[in-house]
Amino acid sequence: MEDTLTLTHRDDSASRIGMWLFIFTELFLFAGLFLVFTVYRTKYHEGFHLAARELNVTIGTINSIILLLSGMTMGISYVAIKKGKVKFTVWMLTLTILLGIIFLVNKYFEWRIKFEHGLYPGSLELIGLSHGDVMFFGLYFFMTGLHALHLIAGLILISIVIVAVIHKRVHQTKYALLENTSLYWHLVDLVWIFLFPLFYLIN
Amino acid sequence: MDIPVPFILSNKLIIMDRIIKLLADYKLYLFTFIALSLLTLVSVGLTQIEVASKIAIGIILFIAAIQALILLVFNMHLKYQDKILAIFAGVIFSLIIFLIIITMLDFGNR
Repeated sequence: MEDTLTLTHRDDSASRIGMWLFIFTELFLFAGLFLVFTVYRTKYHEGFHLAARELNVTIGTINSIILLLSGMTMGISYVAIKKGKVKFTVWMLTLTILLGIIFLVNKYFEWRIKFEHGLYPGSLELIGLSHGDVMFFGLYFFMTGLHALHLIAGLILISIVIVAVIHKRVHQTKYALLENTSLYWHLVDLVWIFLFPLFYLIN
Repeated sequence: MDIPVPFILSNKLIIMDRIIKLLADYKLYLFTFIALSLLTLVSVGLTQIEVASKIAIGIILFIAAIQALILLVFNMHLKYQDKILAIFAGVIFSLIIFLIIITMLDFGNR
């Protein structure tokens, strides 16, 4: 009987560079939106100033700390898998998912309050306000919504990594999937680091 | 001379030893989390005190830039990766800043 030899090619370095290239394109996407925000903020300075006061700085700050904490647990899971601590890795990844969900729940309540006050794009109340208010809330919902979508994608990725770790497809010597997911999660953190002061603090 | 350690105390010592080891292994992420959180709180604190608007905006954006740098260098491991990735990241961020500056200059002169 003829023996078959299966060769699998693995290039962790190339996979990491690919992830970084993806991150760079994402950075350009958000940079474009930040540019739009800056231009309209300059144009409708007064409207943006008043509209920003509608946002809750306390909820924004709590959400920032939660997201930074999730970045820490994600980073710890990366070190843990390199040390071969499978159970601890799974715990840290699960904690990251929980923190991500808490962030989204907070965001949901924040959005709901705005909807209850009629401060959402297309609402009659918002149309009645100044052009600055309309632009501010339009950008607020679009940019924080896009960020939330990225966060949800991150949560799905982390879930996939947890399954891979449990089934030993990701382990001490093969952890590129976890590393790239960790990079993606930190990108979500990075975007929020700029979103938070732009919407909540600069008014 | 061996001094016998009570069982409960020895158990506590083992737990303490484990915590110290754990902190040593993961201290990089713990420290970056503390630094990033403190910087966030400083930014929030700045909005509570009376500082001239443009100065406050400048400081808040500067703090955000420092936070981004900490995240990129330590959490995203740019410090430990190929130098080419750090150069790429530097070029990308310079391009973004350049793009914002020229757009604002153009916008300001209209």
